[in-house]
Amino acid sequence: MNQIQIPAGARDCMPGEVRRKRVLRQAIEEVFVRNGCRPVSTPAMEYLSTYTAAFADADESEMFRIQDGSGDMLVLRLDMTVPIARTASTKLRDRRPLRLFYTEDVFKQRQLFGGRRVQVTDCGVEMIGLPAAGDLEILLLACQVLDAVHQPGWILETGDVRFFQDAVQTLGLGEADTAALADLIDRKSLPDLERYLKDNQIPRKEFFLMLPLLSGGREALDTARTVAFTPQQQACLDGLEERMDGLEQLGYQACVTVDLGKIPHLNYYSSLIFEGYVPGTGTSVLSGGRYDGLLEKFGSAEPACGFSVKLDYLTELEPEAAPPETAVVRTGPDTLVQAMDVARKIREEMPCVIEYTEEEGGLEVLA
Amino acid sequence: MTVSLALTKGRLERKTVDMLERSGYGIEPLRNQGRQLVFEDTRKDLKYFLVKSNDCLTYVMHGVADAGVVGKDTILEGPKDYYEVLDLKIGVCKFIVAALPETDLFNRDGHLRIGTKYPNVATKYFNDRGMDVEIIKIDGSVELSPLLGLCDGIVDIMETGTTLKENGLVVLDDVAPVSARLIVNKAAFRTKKQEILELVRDLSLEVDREQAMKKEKDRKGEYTCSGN
Repeated sequence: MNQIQIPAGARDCMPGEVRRKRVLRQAIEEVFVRNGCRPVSTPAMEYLSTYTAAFADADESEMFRIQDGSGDMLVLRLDMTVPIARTASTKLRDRRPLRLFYTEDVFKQRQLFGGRRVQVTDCGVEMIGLPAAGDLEILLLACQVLDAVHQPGWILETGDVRFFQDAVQTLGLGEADTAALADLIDRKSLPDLERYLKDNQIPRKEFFLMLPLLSGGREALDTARTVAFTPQQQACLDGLEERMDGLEQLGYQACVTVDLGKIPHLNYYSSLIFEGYVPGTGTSVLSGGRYDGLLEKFGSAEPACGFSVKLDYLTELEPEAAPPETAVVRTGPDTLVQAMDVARKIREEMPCVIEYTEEEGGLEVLA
Repeated sequence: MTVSLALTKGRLERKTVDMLERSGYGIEPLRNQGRQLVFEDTRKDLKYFLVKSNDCLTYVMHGVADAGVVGKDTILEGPKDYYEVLDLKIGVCKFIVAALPETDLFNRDGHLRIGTKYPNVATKYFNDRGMDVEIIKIDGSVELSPLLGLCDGIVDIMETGTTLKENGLVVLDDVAPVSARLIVNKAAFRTKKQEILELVRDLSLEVDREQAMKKEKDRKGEYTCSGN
């Protein structure tokens, strides 16, 4: 067979797509820079053990694994949060809070022939040492980024992982029940959830059955108050409402919602989580949250939060931009030096390319 | 905003269309279809696609369809990156383990081979029971494989059990119940929330109505029986 294929799930990007992606990237990075964030870059590869330290249940089947010369296992990075947490703990110990941003490719194995990308560009921020009071700052930043990508009708959905965690802890549910419930609730798998609660005699059935449906605006928070049964849960709801109020006062009405049935599989999230959606994509385009326990795994216990934007999904929605107008200098074999000189001058004003002909004495500038 | 609903072609499609009709949806184009595969509702802002069951998951996961109706058998076997919000209680059947009566499947020593169309479902079932078995993927007439000696047992879908019986196989265990589910794309659940919730509510009410009717019928049936 001809070796002309690229690996499954990979993409070659054509000039129009690359151009649109760059426009988006610049618009988002501009917001980060104005918020005092500084750029960082980390290697495309990490030790496998870096990820298994960060995630209690790291799924190795999702990783691209490579062996280095000494037989150690490496992986293509799965995300940017873990590498930045590692860097911040070990090499950027001076200034707090650290406000960092990045635009890098991350890698994940996908179901074969499923039409999903294995390599996507994440553009995001990580705020290391940002106290809980900074939650509003990071949510506002997410709103500004969603504004900057010009997708009307966007929604920023917030949640708090402690709302579920505190419920299972208070009820003393075991690890297996907790994992099963988390999965069923996160997938809003209502028929199976109902069955699981019944078969396993889980207390507070009505609470868990409501959880997947506790999403929307303030009315969802009001309903949540009626089913919450611990002080910590009420505190979660107070926090979410406070931040919703804050964003509303800052001009973001109706586009900020809550979902208390959001239980992410990334088990480093510690409290606030959020996702951004825009009409026209089948998946969230922005996701993030607070991960106060992650940096401890790399030696420095401190609070942190961040989010990333999935640049590729937004690029698909971006309208095609016309390529820049380009001048053409046509030249024969005898006027090459002259043609280069003319083109160089034009390039100070606009892009210019050379076109070669066989005819002598034919130097010509075409607009 | 228009909601697009992917329907699994075939028997499930007809039952879903019946449910939609009783809920007041304008499904006439789906009744009189030619070769086209996309249909517009005549009363509501809804669009229907007819697809194969596995493709229903794919279309919904990619958000090309906002929601879909698909069997739990397909869901259990396939990827799960969508919401599964409602049991429509149509297309009811179950996954079972079956074997020839002389095969003592669960108490036998040595290597076991299981034939199935659903390798993920079968693997999980035996794994949960602490059994390591070899799964052999078979695409049709799974009941044939133990008769010909290819496999020791099968994991398959059973509706009435007639096919199994006719081939001399006995059911050894239920693996999981199966029925049609309404699944929803995760982003559409936010960006078309009102429309999606309306669809869920309409279908949910119809499910309840049908369950109530069935109960009533069963009750009457009992009376008739006792009367005889």
